[in-house]
Amino acid sequence: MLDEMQVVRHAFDAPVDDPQARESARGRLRLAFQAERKLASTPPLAPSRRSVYRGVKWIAVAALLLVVAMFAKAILPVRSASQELRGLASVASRAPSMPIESGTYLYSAVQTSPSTSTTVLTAGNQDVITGVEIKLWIRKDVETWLASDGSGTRVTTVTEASFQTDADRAAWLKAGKPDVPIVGEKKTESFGPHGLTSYDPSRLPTEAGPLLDALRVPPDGSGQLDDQQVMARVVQLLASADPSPALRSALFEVLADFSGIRDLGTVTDPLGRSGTGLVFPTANGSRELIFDGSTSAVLATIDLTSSGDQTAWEAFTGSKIVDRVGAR
Amino acid sequence: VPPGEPSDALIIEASLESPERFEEIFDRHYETVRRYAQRRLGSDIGEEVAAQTFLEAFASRRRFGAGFSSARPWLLGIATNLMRHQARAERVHTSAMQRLPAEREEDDASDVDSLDAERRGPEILSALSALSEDDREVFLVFALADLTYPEVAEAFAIPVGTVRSRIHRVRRTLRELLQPEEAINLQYAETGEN
Repeated sequence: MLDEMQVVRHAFDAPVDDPQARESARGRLRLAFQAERKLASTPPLAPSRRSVYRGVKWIAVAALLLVVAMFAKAILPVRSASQELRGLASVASRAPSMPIESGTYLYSAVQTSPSTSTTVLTAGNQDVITGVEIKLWIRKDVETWLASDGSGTRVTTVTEASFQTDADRAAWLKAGKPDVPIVGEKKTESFGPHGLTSYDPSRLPTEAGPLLDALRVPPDGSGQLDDQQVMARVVQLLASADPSPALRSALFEVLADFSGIRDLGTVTDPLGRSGTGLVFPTANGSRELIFDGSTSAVLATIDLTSSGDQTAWEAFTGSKIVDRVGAR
Repeated sequence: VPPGEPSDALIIEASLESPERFEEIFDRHYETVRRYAQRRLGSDIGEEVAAQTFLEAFASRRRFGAGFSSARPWLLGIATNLMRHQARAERVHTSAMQRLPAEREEDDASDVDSLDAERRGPEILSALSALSEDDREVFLVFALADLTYPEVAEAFAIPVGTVRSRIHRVRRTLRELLQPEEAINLQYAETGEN
């Protein structure tokens, strides 16, 4: 008869090694090596020759694009935003449906613009804050596996990390190189039912009129949302949810009836992909949405201030149904 | 560590100057960490925890105790810490293991002991779930990762005596659970207990 240790080991039998998983783990570790070398040796935002060259190159590209755009506008018929949206509605209605069945997940991947990460230094005792902050620019990839009940898993990976100023780097060195976000660092979060999405697209009507009425009702059921708030909800649904082709088409129809939306024609998203650009007014400025005209999928969103300065962007790089968390 | 090879401590020290050296630690211990994590959390999340363990270890390698030779207890301690954030996943995995039927028919049994282990598995898993977190973690790293008492003490930064008493307590509980009923009755009869 087996003793208690043998029974425990038998009960917790381990799966066999997966060489692909091992190499993936090794790759992430190597990224961390590179990041540390980069952090330790590269003065971040110092304007190197390369970055100056890159800046000049982009100005030249932008000027060229402006000339091409002006030329194109002069000779090509201009579609209104409303026409563009009705065209996208038609494309959306023919797109294949991607329902999340039980036991499957909607996998989506998003790349984000650089954002600020602040590390606050503490003195000896972890509770004593010194007042010194180290600021980095970081970029992240966010992957999500969404189940039909709104539960799921989100994995956030740091893909770029650099000090915002020389002073930040000096503070980091002086403090003994404390832990800061590094390239390859991952955070895995698990969410229960409705943890990843607070709405249920399957409950929304698929006719533009009733859909608009439903979208005007705020989450707490009191009062009515104004046009800008409804537009924000529509954009959120189009960009992050899994609406059926009929609902997706109706969402575009709803937008087509709003005023204040501008058509940008063909534009390039932050990852260099070409798409149809539309600008929506928001409370703090505007939001540019770039769609793939052939599928109606959202390629990217770009947030702009009222003076037109870009503040943040998200680029959507993948969306498909998979059979398990971790599958891509 | 094979004869003539540098100790983990020396490699980690060298990795402070040359980060790439840390890959030797990965090569030496990934399999141990992966098996331990997957046994406790299942395939997908265990795999992720194993990968995160090495990223966390690399980021905090300055804190690796110079007095220790092997990085194995330290890595398993980090993995256990990461698992605390996966308590729900562990419960789900354990519950799934309790429900899993034996894949073979009893008639095919070539190994009576394995069959007995399969039959008692759910009871054992249930008993382990009922333990305090401290007792369970110390026992599982001892049982599943084959650490010695001093290594478990190193992994959790607790005295060896505490490790010994926790493991003894858990083993006694499990032994009582596995004892045939007649043996327990006999034991009670001998001690005069009801």
